[in-house]
Amino acid sequence: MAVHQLVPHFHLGEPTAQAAVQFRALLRRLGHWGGLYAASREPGTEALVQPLRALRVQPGDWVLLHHAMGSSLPARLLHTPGRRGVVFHGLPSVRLNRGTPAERAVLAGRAQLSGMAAHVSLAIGLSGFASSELSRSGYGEAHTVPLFVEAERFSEDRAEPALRARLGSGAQTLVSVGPVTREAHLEDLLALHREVLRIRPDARLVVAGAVDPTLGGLESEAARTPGVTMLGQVSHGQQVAVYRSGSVLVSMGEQDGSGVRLMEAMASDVPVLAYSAGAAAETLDGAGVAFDEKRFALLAEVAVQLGTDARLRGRVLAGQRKRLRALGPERSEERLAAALESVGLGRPPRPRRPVRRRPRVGIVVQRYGPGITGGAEALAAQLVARLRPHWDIQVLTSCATDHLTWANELPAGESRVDGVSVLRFTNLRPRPMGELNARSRRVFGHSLDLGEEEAWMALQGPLLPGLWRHLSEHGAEYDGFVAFTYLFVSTAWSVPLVADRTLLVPTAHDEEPLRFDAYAEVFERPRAVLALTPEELELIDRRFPRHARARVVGVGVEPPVVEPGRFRTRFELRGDYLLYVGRVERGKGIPGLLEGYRRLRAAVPDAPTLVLAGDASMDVRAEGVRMLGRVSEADKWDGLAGALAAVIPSPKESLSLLALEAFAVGTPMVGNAVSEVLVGHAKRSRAGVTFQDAASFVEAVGRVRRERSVMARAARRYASRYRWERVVDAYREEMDAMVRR
Amino acid sequence: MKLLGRHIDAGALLRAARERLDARGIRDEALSVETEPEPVLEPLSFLVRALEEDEDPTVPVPAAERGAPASLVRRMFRLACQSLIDEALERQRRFNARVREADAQLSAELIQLRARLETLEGSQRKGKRAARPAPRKPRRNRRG
Repeated sequence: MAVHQLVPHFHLGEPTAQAAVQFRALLRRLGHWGGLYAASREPGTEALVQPLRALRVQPGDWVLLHHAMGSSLPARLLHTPGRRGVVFHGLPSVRLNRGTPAERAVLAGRAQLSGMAAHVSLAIGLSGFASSELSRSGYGEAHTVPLFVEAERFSEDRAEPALRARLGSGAQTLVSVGPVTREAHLEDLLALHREVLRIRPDARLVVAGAVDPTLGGLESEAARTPGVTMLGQVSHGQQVAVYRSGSVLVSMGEQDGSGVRLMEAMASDVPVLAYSAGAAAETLDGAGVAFDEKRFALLAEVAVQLGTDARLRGRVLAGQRKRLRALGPERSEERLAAALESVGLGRPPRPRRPVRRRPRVGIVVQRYGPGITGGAEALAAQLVARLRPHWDIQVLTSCATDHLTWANELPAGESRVDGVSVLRFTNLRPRPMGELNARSRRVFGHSLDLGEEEAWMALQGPLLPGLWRHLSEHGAEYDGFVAFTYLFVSTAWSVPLVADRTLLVPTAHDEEPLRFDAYAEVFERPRAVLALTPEELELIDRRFPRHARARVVGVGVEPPVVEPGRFRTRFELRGDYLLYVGRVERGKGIPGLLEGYRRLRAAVPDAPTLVLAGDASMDVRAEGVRMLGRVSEADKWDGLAGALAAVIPSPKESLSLLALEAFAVGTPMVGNAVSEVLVGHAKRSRAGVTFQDAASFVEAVGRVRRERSVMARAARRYASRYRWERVVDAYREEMDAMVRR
Repeated sequence: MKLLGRHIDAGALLRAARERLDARGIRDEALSVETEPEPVLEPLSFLVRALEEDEDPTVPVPAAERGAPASLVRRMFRLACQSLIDEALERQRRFNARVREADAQLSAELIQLRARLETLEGSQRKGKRAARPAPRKPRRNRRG
């Protein structure tokens, strides 16, 4: 059973899109999966939102429509099979739009709202105000599920620095954020600002939000008024800059149906002065300052007082912070759960059954199968092999073998790999690397809202709606789950669905997406987080301080019997060589390695050969560089055993299995100093040297040459700590604790 | 005007603001705000009216909805080719009229049926209540 959502026009940052994304996050936490579908979509959101024609409703599914003006979806909803619901934020005012080109659309929107009443079983208003409109429109019981605000997204460090600097001044600044429609009453904001100007001639009014094109006259009037800045549509970071530059946030709206701007202002630590109408009173609930009449001269005095009286401002802000604590996602989740429960959509209870001798465990991983390379995937396969005797395992994964495209190369459905049941789900959409890279360049390093982050995550993939439906429908049949790699939505959107029975193996390293707040629930909601190294745990501590209970479990390394000579003969290698094994791509730091190696060859006449083994997606041809392509496991071990050192140029490592494997056969490591994990291994083992640049790479190789025999002994000592028995015991311990809870 | 807020001394804040206003010699007036709730529309009747408004495709769209320059070009074109346009649109107009008539007929029937159903259900409920024996009043203990 899924809970799908229909949105007329999906544009990130707009209320219906914002509500749909928030609702989906809340639904996941309540154990329900569902897709987002829209009649039209903003370019770049195609992975996050499916076109309406892709909607397939299965028996028992729910379809929730986010109603808005100009929507063609009510007719579609009425003829959609399954159970139906309406989510309502509000519609433009008939009174304010009388005689305007929008009048007929506004009337039609209201008629559509009444027309759906008799045909839906669930009505949700985003505020008490919106719910009362639903009730007046013929919906029997309307539930109120307010949107939430994530306070951390509005902290000072999220403000776009350029706009923050531009707007920063000591002048009295009124700010207003949100679409400038008739309902925002720009004329009232201007009237108030003119009164403030009479008290403070240097006062400013900053308005952020797209202006309704039919309000051209008013916009020109604003442009002529001294001290007024109309910013138009702004990004999330700019929005935070506007809020944080304000002395007071003013709201003159009379029909705001969600109160979300007031919540955002409270999260941005700016005092709120709001007309007490629509959802304002219930959102503020005594916080900020509300007024019941628009007396601009008097309000100007109050606004100036709020902006300048430090004691008054301090009291108001303290009250707003207190109110904000009650406006978090937990409240919305609770209200949504109650609304769903009222129509029999509660979270399915976990069947009580005696504890089995072997718990049934689902392993969630993005790819799985023979020949699939990748650190997390290899770790998952190794763990499955070692935990099989203790657990009844089913691997839940994609049909992909290639992590760059997620192309569905393996058949969907159940199969067996080395005697283990594997359930594969098709990926909805190939990963468009060009589009993903372009979007990454656009969003990384900027502050984003939840929708923008989820749009990137969806683009990254793999999109496995079958997996999410399986977890929401059959999740209760598993005793527990182990989910690998926080980064991919195959895990990130699975964990909340079954969080109370999930152990997360995040394989996290310091990378841009780890800064997304959207990943917080992946680290905070599972039963436990299992890190591979102390450095990874420290990183998680720093980034998500409210993470679930966490421990370092590491991995095991068991080298086979090695024959270094076999490798030399097979690949015709003479003299010393440095060996890298893994994907030969930019993201792994190969360009830096090649640069260092060029410097080494120039500086050292008998420089060792640089041997690269793995699939290549870049040109590495250079003097002294040998490219072997993918090598067998036996060749890898033989090669490592005979190498002068293993080189690990990747700046992003959560474990570095290659380093541990090299240590296990007595080979030192030369690793990238940017990776805290490699620095940690080098320090703890005393069998590795790290480098920052080409010059230090030359020094590192020189030191390994001089101290290789000492380092080899230290390497073996260090590797002996990484034994599979200890790792398996740790996983079993965590699973047993969860199962027997 | 009232100020509302749990963390402010609303009376004192308002008094101080009024005093400052008086000192500046400014009289303030309240903007009148309509507080009537938005209308609720009966969808079937609304659709009949909406179809009626757009029934005749030969009626030009108001200039306000298109912008003056585009409207002027259209008007000139119309003047030149009105008879051809009318001929082409006549069939569309007839079709629209039939659709509106059909919708009006069907929705009127539906509204009437809903009302009859409601009446019938109401009288059925009344009948059931009447058939049920009246609950016996609890006997009171008489004193004395």
